[in-house]
Amino acid sequence: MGTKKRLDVSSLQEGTTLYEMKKEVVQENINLYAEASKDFNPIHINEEFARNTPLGGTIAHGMLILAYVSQMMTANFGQVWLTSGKLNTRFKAPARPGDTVTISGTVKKLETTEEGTSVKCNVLCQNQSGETVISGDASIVLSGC
Amino acid sequence: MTVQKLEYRQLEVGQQFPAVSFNLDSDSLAAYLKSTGELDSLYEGTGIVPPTAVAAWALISLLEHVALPEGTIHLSQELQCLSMATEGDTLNCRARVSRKQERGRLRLLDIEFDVVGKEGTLLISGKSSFNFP
Repeated sequence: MGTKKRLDVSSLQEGTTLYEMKKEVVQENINLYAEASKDFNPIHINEEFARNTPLGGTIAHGMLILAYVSQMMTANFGQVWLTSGKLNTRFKAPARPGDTVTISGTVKKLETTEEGTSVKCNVLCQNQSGETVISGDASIVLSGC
Repeated sequence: MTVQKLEYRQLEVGQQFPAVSFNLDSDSLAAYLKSTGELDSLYEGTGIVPPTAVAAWALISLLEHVALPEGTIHLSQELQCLSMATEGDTLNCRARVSRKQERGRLRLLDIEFDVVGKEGTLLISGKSSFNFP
């Protein structure tokens, strides 16, 4: 286990690129996530069922991919994400087993507020074809800045 | 106990769901961290629970009260992290219907929820939006 270096928040400015993260979407992890989250919707875990739906196969839970977005924010900002983070995202396309998704973000606005410096970011999760899986905004508040 | 699931037509804006509580046990936390490949050192031996884990467990508990027919789509998710949950905590979740709108073939439903920990500390707030078939 371990953590890559966090983002240096003292040098943040509008346009700063967050450290991105890549994740392989594999059925085994989707099955594990179903167990862990207790979400056993067959579209995620029953390949025969899923093949006969318009989706044509299993897809990852949206909340699993959202967890990757949160991981990216944690990796960049550490504990402050857990106590001041806000996420506003839309699920645009499903992530499927075999996909590699890249989660990225860019600082779009820095604002001084009563609580500290609000850092607003665009966040994006795309698959290997460049298709957007999740898009939205995320923010944190750096107190004492 | 069998929970009576509510159909879309039975839901109304402002309707509160029965509060649910759930425990953040170590096995569930370990399973969640493994399934999401969460390797951040913040979670190593600290018992801190990722906010998305709390949200996922809250959501799945709440949805025991709502019938989600095949084809229901989770459109969007908002999440506000206010305080950290830790392993062993028992959390309570309150939720309500904040929007119900039918527009053409769309049948939209928003559910807002708050997850509180010990002494009523608000940990997570969220809003989940769905389109029903």
